[in-house]
Amino acid sequence: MQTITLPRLSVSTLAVPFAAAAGVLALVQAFWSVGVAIGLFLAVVTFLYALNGVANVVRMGPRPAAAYAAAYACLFLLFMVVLGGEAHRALMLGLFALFLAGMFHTGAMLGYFVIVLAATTLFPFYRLPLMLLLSLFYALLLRVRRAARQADNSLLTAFFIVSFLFAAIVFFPLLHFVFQRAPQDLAHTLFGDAISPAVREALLRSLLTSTVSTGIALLLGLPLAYVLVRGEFKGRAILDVAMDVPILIPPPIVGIAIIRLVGESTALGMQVKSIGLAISNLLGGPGSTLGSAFANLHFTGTEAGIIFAQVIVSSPFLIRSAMTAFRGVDARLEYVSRTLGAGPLRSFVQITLPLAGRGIFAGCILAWARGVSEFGACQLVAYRPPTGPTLIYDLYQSHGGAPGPSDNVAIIMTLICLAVFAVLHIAGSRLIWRRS
Amino acid sequence: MLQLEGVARTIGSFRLGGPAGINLEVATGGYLVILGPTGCGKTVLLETVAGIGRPDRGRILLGGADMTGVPPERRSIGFVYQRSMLFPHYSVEGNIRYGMALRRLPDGEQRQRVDRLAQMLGIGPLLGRDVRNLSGGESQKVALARALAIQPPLLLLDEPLAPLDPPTREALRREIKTIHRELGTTVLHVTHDQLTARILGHSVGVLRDGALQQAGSVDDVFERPAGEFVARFVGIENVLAGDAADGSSPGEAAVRVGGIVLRARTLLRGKIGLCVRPSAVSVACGEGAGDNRLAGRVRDVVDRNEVYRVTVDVGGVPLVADVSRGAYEANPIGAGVAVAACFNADQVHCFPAEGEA
Repeated sequence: MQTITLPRLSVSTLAVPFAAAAGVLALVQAFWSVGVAIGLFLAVVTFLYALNGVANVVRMGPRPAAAYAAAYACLFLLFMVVLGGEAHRALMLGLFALFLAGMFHTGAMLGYFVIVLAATTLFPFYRLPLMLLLSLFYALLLRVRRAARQADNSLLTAFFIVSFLFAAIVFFPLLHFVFQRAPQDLAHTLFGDAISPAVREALLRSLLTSTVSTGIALLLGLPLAYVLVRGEFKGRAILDVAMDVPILIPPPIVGIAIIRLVGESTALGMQVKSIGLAISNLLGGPGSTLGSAFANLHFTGTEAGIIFAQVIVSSPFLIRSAMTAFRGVDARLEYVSRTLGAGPLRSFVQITLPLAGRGIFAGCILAWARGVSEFGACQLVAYRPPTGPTLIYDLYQSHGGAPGPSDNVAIIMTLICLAVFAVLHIAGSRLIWRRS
Repeated sequence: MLQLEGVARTIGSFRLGGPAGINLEVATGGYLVILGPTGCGKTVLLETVAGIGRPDRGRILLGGADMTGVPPERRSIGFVYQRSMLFPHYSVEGNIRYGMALRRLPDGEQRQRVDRLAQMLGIGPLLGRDVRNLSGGESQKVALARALAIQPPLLLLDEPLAPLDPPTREALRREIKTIHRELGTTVLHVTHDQLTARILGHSVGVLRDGALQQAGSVDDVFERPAGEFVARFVGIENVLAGDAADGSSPGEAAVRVGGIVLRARTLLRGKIGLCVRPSAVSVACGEGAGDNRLAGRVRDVVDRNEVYRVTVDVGGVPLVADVSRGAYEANPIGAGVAVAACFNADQVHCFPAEGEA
C-alpha cells in the first residue's frame, strides 16, 4: 500500500504551520470562539498526519491496528472525562486528532499536544504567545538534544535551556503585546480612523528618516571603520573607544545637544537657515518644488533634525560591524591587488568592499534598526512632525496610559519593523559575492 | 636586474637589514633563493621589494631604475604569497585576468596569455572554477599564473611550496623551474627549505633575524658556509667548534675538538668553527682510508630512505655519516660496533667561530 510521505518535521516546516496558525487564529478569533479556531487548524494539519498514521497502522496487520484503535478510544474517553464540558468539544476533537497523529506517526507530536493543552487550560489569557514560544522551544530543544548527542556534549542541552529562558524573558512581553489586538482593529487604526493619516505619515517618516540616516552613517562610517582597522597610529585605541560614546550618552542628551548647537535661535542654526535659503534660491526660489525643500532649512521640528539625531545614535553600530567585516578581509589580498596594478582606492573598491559587503550590510541593518527605534533624541528635536515612536508616546499620554490607539499604532509599527528586518536579513543572507 | 642597496626597515621591534642594511643583487633572468627560519624577516623583505611598505634606509633598483618610493601598483612586480591569497569573489580565470584587466589589455591578448599560462601550469580545466574549491597545489598554480599574467620583470615568491604536501610540492617545484627557464623572469624566492634552495636557486642568501648572513652561488653557500648558523641552516649536520693549531703541512691545521684532533685544510688559527657534510664521512670497520681516521663506536643508525644515517661517537664527539643503502645492506653495523669515521682534510670546511670574526 502506498503511504503518503510527509516532510519530516524541521524548524522551517514547523514555522509554516505555526505562522499559518497564528494568522488563522487571529482571523477566526474575531468571528468564532478560540476553541473552534484551534480545532479547525489542528484538524487540517493533523488530518494529513493521521492519514499517514492510519496507513502505517494498516500495514502493520490487523492485531496491532486493533490495539492502536483501542488505545485511541480509551484515551479519547479518558480525556473527555478529565476535561469535560460542552464548550471545549471542538478544541478537544482537534487535540485528539493531533494526539492520534502523534501516536501513529511522529512521536514528537506528543510534545506539541501537551504544550497546546497546557497553554489553553493553565494560562488561557496568554495562550497564543505561550503556545508559539513553547512550541518553538520544543522544536529547537529536540534538535539541540540530537546535536548534543552527536557531539557528546550534554552541556549544549543545559545551556540551551538556560538561554531559551533568557530569550523568553526578552521576547515574551513583545509577543504577548502583539497578540493584544485583532487584525481588523489594526486595519481600522491604519485606514479608517480620524487619526489614520497622521499615523501613516508618522510611520512613513520613521522608515524614511532611518533609511536616510543609515545611508549617511554608511558614507561617513565606512572610511572611519577602515582607518581604525588598517591604520596603525598612536591614538587609534582612543578613537576606537570614542566611537562608542553615542551608545553611552542617553538619547535625550543627544537631543538637547543638537538643539543647543543648531536650534533656530543659535548662531549656527541661523547660519544653516541662510545657507538653506541660498540653496533654495539657486534651485529656483522657495516657490519651486526643489527650492521649497531648502527654503526653511533648520534642525528643530524637521526631518533634518530627526536624521541628525538618528545618525548620531546609530553610527556606532554600523562602524563596529564594518570594522569586523574589514578585519575579516586579509590585508594581503589588498597587497596582491596592488602589486597587480590596482591603486589603493581601486583595491578597496574591487577587493575589500565586496568581501566585507555582507558584514557591512549587517551593520546597515543594525544602524537602520537603531534609527527606527530612536525616540529620546527625536522627540526633543522634533515632537512635531512626529516619528512613529513619538506619535505612540503622544497617543499614550493623551489617553492617560489606558489601552487605546497608542497600542494599535505600536503593534502596527512592531509588525512593519519586524517585516522590514526579516526582509533585510533574508536579502543579506542572499547577498552573493560578485563573480567576474 | 634587481639590486638592493643597504635596505633597512623597522616594523615594531623587528629590524630588517641589521646595521649595514641588506645588499644583494639578482641578475636578469637569475633565480635567488633567500633561506631563513620562520620569523627571520623573509616576508618583510619581499614586501619591501614589492613596495608594500617603504624601507627606512637604502634603495631598491629594478633594471637600474630607482623604485624605492614607487607605489606597488606602478612597479609591475609579480607576488605570490605562501597562502595563495586568491580573490575569493573572482573565478580562477577572473583572478588570472585581474592584473591584465587593470592594464586594459585587449581581450584577445588576455585570452592568449590566460591560455598560455593555463597550458604551462596545467590549470586549463580549472579556469571556470570557484577559487574557494581549489586544492592547495591548484591554488598556488593559479596564484602563480595571476602573478605571471602581467609579465612582470621580477617575480617574488614567498614560500609558495611550504603549505603543500610532498608530492605536490615536488611537482610544483619542477613546474616553477620549467617556467623560469621558459619565461626567463628574474625570481626572488624566500623559503626555509634548503632542498628548494638547492634545486631552484642559481644563487642563495641566508637571512637571520633580518640580517643577511651570506649570499653567493649555491655551491658557495652550501659547501663553504660563512658561519655556524649558515652551516646548520643549509643542512650540514656535523658542525663543531675547536682550536686550530699549525698542522703537518703549511695549508693545514690540526684542530682540537673535544677529545680528538682533526686535520683540516685551512689558514685559520685559534678558535674556529668547522663543518663536514655527512655524505663526506665514510664509516669503515677496519682501518679505513682518509686524512682523518677517527676510531669510535656507532651510537645509532637511522634509515633515511635513500641513505642510512650513522652517528658515530668519536671520543665524546658525535659525527654523522651518510652510508649508501647498498653499502649498508652489504655490511650492516649496529649500535655499539667499533668503527672508524674517515674523511679527508679538504672536506672539512672551517670558518671563524661565532663572534670572533
